[in-house]
Amino acid sequence: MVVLNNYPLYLILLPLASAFLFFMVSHYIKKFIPVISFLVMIGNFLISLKLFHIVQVHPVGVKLANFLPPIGINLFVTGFNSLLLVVINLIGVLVFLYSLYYIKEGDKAKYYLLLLLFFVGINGVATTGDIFNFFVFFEILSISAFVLVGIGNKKLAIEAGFKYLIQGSLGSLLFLIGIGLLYSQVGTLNFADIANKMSAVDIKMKLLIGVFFITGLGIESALFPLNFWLPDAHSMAPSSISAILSGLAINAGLYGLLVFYFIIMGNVAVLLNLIFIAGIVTMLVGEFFAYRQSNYKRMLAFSSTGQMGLVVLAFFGGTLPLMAAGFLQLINHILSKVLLFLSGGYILKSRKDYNLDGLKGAFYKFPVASVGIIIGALSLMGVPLTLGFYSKIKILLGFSAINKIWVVIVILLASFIEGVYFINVLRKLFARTDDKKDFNIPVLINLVFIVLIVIIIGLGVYPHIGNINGYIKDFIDSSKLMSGVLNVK
Amino acid sequence: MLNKIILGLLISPIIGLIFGWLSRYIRQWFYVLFSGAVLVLIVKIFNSAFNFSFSLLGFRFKFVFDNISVFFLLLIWGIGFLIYFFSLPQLKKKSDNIYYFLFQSLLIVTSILTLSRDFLGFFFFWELMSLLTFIITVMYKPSRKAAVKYFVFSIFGAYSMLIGILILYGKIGSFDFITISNSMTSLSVGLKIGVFFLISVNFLIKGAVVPFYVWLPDLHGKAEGKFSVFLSSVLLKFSILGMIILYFVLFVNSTISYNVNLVIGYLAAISFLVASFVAVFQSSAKRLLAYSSIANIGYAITAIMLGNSLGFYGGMFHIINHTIFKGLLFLIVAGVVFRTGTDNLDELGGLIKRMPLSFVGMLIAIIAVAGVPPMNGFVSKWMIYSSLFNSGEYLALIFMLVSSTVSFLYVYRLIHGIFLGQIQEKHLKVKELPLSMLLPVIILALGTMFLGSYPGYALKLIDKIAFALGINQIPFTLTKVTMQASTLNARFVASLFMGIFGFTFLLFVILSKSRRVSQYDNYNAGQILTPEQPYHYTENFYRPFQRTVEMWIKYDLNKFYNVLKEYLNDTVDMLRKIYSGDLQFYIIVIIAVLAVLLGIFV
Repeated sequence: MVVLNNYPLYLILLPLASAFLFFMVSHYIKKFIPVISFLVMIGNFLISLKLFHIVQVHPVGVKLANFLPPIGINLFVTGFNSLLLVVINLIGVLVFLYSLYYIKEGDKAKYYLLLLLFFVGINGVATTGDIFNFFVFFEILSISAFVLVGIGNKKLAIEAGFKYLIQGSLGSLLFLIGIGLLYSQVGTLNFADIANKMSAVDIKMKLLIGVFFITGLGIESALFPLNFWLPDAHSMAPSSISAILSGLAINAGLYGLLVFYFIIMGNVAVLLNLIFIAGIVTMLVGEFFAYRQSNYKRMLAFSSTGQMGLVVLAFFGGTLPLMAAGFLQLINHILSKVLLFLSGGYILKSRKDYNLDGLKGAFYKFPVASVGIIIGALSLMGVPLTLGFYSKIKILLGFSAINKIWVVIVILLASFIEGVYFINVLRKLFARTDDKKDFNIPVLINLVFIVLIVIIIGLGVYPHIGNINGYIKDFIDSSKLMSGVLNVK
Repeated sequence: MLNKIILGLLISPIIGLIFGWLSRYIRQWFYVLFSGAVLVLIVKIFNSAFNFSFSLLGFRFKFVFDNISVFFLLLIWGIGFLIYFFSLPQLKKKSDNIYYFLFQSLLIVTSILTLSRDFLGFFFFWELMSLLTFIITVMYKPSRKAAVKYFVFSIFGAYSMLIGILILYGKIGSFDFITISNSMTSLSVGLKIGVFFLISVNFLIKGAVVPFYVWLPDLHGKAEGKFSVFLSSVLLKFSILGMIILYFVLFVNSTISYNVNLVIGYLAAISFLVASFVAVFQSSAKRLLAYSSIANIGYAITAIMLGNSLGFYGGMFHIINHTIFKGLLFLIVAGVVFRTGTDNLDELGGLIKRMPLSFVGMLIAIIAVAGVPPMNGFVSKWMIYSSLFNSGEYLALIFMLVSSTVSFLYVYRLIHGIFLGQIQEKHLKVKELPLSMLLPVIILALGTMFLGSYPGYALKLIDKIAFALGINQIPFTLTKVTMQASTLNARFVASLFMGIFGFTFLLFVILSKSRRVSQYDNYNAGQILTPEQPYHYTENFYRPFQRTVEMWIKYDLNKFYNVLKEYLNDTVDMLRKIYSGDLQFYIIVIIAVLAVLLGIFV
């Protein structure tokens, strides 16, 4: 049973329409653009909550302009997507709120317009039901991200943005080739339709398509050795942008991989193992390299690849509980990493020192932001009473249940290294300095931190986000569910 | 009722925080009364045993209140109460509020840890314990570096334990201690040994056993005075809790064919031998005491790991004794720091006239540390000696005898450095500790003396644990402990020593023709000593002895860990150069990946 309504569509249209509006009338409403876009995101967040509420009972589908699939554009939302949408739009609200105070110079209209487009892209990616639209939304997301990296007009940032642009475009290109190959085999773009026709495709061809998809999406989801763009782009961008890049953009790539493997491809063990190994390598490389960074944001960027590796590892571990745990870890990573980037970024910006030493003594000057860093770091380390503990222990239990102790050991090794460098950050926070300068953090910015802290701790103590296992199951079965309602042959 | 108690415990730190905003005196008295009340409660429900469990995080955590819990709860809240009381005159700083919030939370978390009887809960609260300890110590400036070291080691240990737990979970499918213990026989010997060592690494780290002890001297030596008391008297003992659970609960049904327990026992033996020697040459009083703690926890671990009942009784009794006398020593040193601002033995001296009661307290404590009658340390050490002798571990026995002898040297250094010799001019105005600081000192000093004559009161408690764990009980009365071949009448020995002491003292008073002079009315080698040049040498106190043993103790494990770290850093630094910023290289890598994948799959 699937409900048809237009809520998923609003999630895309609302920011898209406002972005267009800004483009046309930006000259007249320049002052109000930040506030309006913030309100738009609040609207989006409420819609996503409503959608989440509906999806608890039935998945939601959208038929656009009454075209029947496989021809028309259609959107499809299961529990999995809707929870992602809630998180995405929550982060959206917080980042827009943060930007109100954080972005003080430069072309504000451009910034907000691109940021809205970013959310158009990511909401589209998370809702779309056909692969070409997936590509289109992904491009919207990526292109706005490329520009947002360099928006501060700093030399290094522009260089990083340019490199990101080249490599991201290469990834998109490979992805597009994969889509072309896929289309040549099945003659359709709708997920459900492809899934139905996939069984007829030759295994050699499947592998070929798989290689293009994995390489293309691997670049976007920062799998080693395709993630060279990431540390530069994530560390050079303004902190609000770093937060959504690390928190959301790479997860969009991962979501693509999930859709590709679990919905479209069906079970091809070789590809599963390939991605699994890539996940392990990515995790180790990310954590070990983060360990030696002296720049706070660069460290977080490497930590993001490490966390991505862990999430990939769990999703492609092969069992349902592991996937559920991976999903929790993904949410944990989004929340914690955004918190770390936003809180640390604000402190570092006000001190104009982006090295770890810039955090010295921050606990006594910026208590709320520092608690944000502490909670974010502890949650990524997986310390009890944070969401990270729950998700990490679930991943470990999942691997232990299928007797893959070596994976447990590798994960714990990576976690140990992660612990070491985050402890170093915490130590800096408590250092006593003679810094007499006082900066006040606006109350609303502190509110952003407090919201994230409360969510991480709250979910750590009471981690009942909903029926995660059910969501994952629905997600894997979504081609079947989609076929049922959308009359896909 | 139970629910209310647990709720009360859980919200007490928050109440304290709220009181702290009103007034720090209200807060402190609240904590004092609260911990006192908990202590009374524990004593009241001393004999009862009950289990409960609650769901947290979708897991079911199992808790049992039994004799093992009572033992550790008494340590926690006894020392906690004394520390709260001790800190009453020290309420000056502003950030205290968070400190006491964290400290009270630590008391709660450790209390729950003692009740935990499944591995998930155990791991959960163990991690919280490490975390809170870390935050408390990292917030105090002098111990910040040490805290980092401590936390890195404890994370390593916790993860090592977690691997062991997860191997067991994969094979047995349960976290419950009893279930695991019952299904243990189905595992292969190699796996059992592997799990045993993986889990024990965690407890070896917490117990500061060679080769993992390097964090302890730094942390205990530099932490804030009253928190050092807690670290040494309480937190250190959790390694014993872990060892008991590991050896007497998990592996009790399945004899591993090799004596893995003795491996741990001998590691602890090496660590007490080394630690005693190193302690002699410390000039910081707290660091000296920290090394002494390594030695004493080492005695207990060795004794308990013998696996026989006398060793268990002796080891556990030594735990209680160490808690009391080391708590006493750290409290006095904290008091000295409170009055003089330093714990450096080279800068102190001659405080006996200024702080006589503290001196007496320290005298009692160091007699106990040295293991001499009539104090409690003698009885437990004697039991450990006997157990080592009975089970034929002569090497460990020799180690312990040497270590105990060496402990005379460092305790003398301690009391001489602080209280004897001539006083420094700047300390002439130092006063005795205030009453609320003296009271805990007096209580612990009386405890030290009391258990030296009446060890039975403590042994009763241990007896119950032994009974619960199925260890053979040994016969004892309030004053006498019967070992295999001999009986030790503690009260008799104590009275004898006291009698001899009293008699000699009397002779000294009656027969001496001494004349009371000022400390500065003195001369050395024909030269009159002035306050600027006091007759109190402390630097290089044991220089000749140091020369003798230097070549044996120069090996420092810190260096080993630093080299390890350097290697890791260099390797990573070399590898991370692949993130060169060179776009062409990046593109080539992407193309290469694509080509390789195509080559493999198509």
